[in-house]
Amino acid sequence: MSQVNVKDPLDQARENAQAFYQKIEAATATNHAQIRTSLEKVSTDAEKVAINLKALGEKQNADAKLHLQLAQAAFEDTAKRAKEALAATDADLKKKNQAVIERARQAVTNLSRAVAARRAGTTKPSKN
Amino acid sequence: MDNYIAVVFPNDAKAYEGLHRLWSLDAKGDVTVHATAVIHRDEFGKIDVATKDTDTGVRTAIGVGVGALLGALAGPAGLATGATIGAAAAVGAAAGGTIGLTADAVKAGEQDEASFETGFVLPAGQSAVLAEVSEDWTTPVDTTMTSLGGRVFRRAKSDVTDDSLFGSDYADYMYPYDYEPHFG
Repeated sequence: MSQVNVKDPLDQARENAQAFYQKIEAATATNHAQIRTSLEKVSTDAEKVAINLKALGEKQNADAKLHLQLAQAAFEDTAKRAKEALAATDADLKKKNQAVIERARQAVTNLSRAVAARRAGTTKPSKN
Repeated sequence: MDNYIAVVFPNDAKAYEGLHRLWSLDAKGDVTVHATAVIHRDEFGKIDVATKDTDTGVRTAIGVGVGALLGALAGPAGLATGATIGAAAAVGAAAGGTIGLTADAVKAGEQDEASFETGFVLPAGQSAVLAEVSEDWTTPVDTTMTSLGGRVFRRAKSDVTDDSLFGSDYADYMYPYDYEPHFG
C-alpha cells in the first residue's frame, strides 16, 4: 500500500507563493507588452493568494498568524502596485514592475517566517 | 532560532548539491530556509554569486548586501586577520563596489560584542552556500552538510546588530526558493 503525504496547508501556500514569485521575477527579462500582460495576471493572482492566506491565519499560533497577516498585506499591496504599474508609461514600467517584484518577495519572506513559527510550535527536538 | 549560515565546499558542484539538500531539509520540516545564495571565490580572491540558470547574466558580481553578510559571518577576527573574508570583500570593492567598506562597517559595529567568532573563511577556489534559516536545533544542517564535505559556520541573526547594512540588493542575490545555480 502506497503512503500518501498530505502537505500542511501553510507549507502548500508557501510553495505556491514561491512558484508565483519565480514567475513574476522571470518577467523582468521580457519586453514591455509582456510585462504588462504579466502584471495583469500578477494583480489577480496576488489578490487570490491574499484571500487564501486570510483563511489560513485562523488556525495558526500567534507568531505564525502575525507573519501570515504581514504576508497577506504584502500580497494585497503587490496586487495594488501591479494595477498601478499597468497605467505607467513604458519608460517607468520596468521600475514599477521591480517594485511589484520586491513587494512580492517581502510577502514570500513573511510566509516563510510564518512556516518557521508554525514549525517551532510543533514537537521537535530543541537543543540548539 | 534564526541564523545566518555559510557552508564552505571544495567546489561548485558540491555547493550546488549542498544548496538542494538544504532545501530538502526544509521540505521535510527539519529547518526553514528563508533565502539562499551560492558564492565562489576565484584564485585572485574575487567573489561571484551564482545566478539562477534561467537568469540573463545579471547578478554575477558580489553586491553590497552579500558582502555585508559575509562581513557579519566573518566576525571581528576576520577584520583583524585580514587574510580571511575581509580581504576577499576588499578585493570585491576594488573590483567596483563598496562591499569591503560595508563588510567592515558591519564588523566595526560588532567590535563591542566580540563574544562571537564563527571562524568563517572562504579560501580561494572554494564555494559556499549562504543561507538565512530558522532552526530549532543545528544537527540536521550540520550532519547533512558535513556528510557532503561541507564546513558549517553559523551566526545568530539576533547577534547582527544592524542588518539594514545588507541593503536592498541582499534580496536580489538571495533566492527565496530552490533553484539551479550557475556561474555566468
